[in-house]
Amino acid sequence: MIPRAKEALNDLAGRLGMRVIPELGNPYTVADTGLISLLMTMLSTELESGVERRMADGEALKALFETATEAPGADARAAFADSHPDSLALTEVTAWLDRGLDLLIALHAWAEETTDADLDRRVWAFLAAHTDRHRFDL
Amino acid sequence: MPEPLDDLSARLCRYLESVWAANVGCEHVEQIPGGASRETYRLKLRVDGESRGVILRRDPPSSLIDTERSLEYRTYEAAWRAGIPVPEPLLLEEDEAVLERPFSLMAEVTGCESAIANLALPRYESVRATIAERKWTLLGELAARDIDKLGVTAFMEVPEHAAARELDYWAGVIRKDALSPQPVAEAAIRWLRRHLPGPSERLCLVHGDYRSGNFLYNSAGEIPALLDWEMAHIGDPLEDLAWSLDPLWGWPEKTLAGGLLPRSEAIALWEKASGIRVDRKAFRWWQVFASLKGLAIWISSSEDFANGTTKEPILAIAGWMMTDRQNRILVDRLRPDDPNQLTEALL
Repeated sequence: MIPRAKEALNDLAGRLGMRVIPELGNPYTVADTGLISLLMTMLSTELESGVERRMADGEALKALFETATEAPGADARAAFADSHPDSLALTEVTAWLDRGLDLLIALHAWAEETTDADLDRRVWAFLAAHTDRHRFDL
Repeated sequence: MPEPLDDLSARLCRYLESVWAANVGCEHVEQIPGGASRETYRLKLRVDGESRGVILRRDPPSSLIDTERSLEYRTYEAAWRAGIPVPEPLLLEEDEAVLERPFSLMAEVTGCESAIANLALPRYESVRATIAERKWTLLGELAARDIDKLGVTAFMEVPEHAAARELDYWAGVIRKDALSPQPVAEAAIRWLRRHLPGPSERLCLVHGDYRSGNFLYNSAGEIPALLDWEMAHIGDPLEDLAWSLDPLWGWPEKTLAGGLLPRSEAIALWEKASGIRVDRKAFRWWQVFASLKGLAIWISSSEDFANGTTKEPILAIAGWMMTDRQNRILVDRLRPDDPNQLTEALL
């Protein structure tokens, strides 16, 4: 049976912290192993919810793009709004979202140049939600 | 596999015997955790029968900050000559035949520590305020020093427009190293270009990474050494001040600069020591720039982990966690609606 990936990584990180580190004498190795354990914990959250968070970003981008029909690049944004990742593998979803984020950067620059304050606000609202969605607090 | 420490110290001792014309042995060697830009080792040497503590800093195959080692070493020399508290620089060796990668050697500063979290321990309670005061006073004193008298103009570029140069450099780092599109960074870069201040009225030696963790302190409330000058350059005095006050260094504490004291007090200490009155408009720019520069460093760190050879976990952790926080700081400061939920307002 396949282990539950998130729990397995967290358990292994905990095992490093509780069982391995106390047996290490060298301060550098202790710190290095502690960092490996922390990174495993962080990666477990990415493994569990990385696709979900990127898909939520993509859906929010689509909604934002639908409100910005006057800006240059409308065809590219419409194409993104009609698109989906090639698969739900994290790499594919990331590549798909990256295409949308590139379009967002151009749209945001246009909103600033044309002083479209409403669009600028909507982009910042997206960025606030986007960064909050990906926050990692210990 | 990393090189065994005994091999490293033996090779170093053979080299030092030749350079110092002395009998050199090693009594103890250990690698110091946390050296993200250089591999750092503490050695207790015996030189002609006398014990001597040294710090070896060796270029890693991959690093958090890509820097020019000789510029950093010459900055240490200039600071040491001028009486700025730094570890005494002993030698720089760029011949890779000695330890496979270039390295420098500094005298060890004993009886101190750098971990900022430890300042919260009871043993520092009576001197915490003194250390905080010293931190921003030293920075102000650095800003007040004449760059010609320090001698740094001999090996550092003197910028015509410090803010423009720094922005160009760090925006370039982000665009070169980003593994994915960076909409927050790009928005900040555009904001910084729209609000670019004029050329600096005066220039100083900028430490470049003056923050929690990059100075040594002791239980007497002293700061005997400022560390990590790898990003030192000639620039605007407000750059270091803004960097030292970036919300990241006190995160998630919102009101204490570097987790130590209110921002207004830190600025007052700096103004008194430097003799410079902070130009609020220019400082607003340098505060946003500080967060962008931080973002560039963390993005670069992620790139190093992804494409470099060492796979040091600190590169991935810093590159991930700090990018996340710095992105949130920039959004919190620049968004038109409901700003400053996570940070104090820009001055």
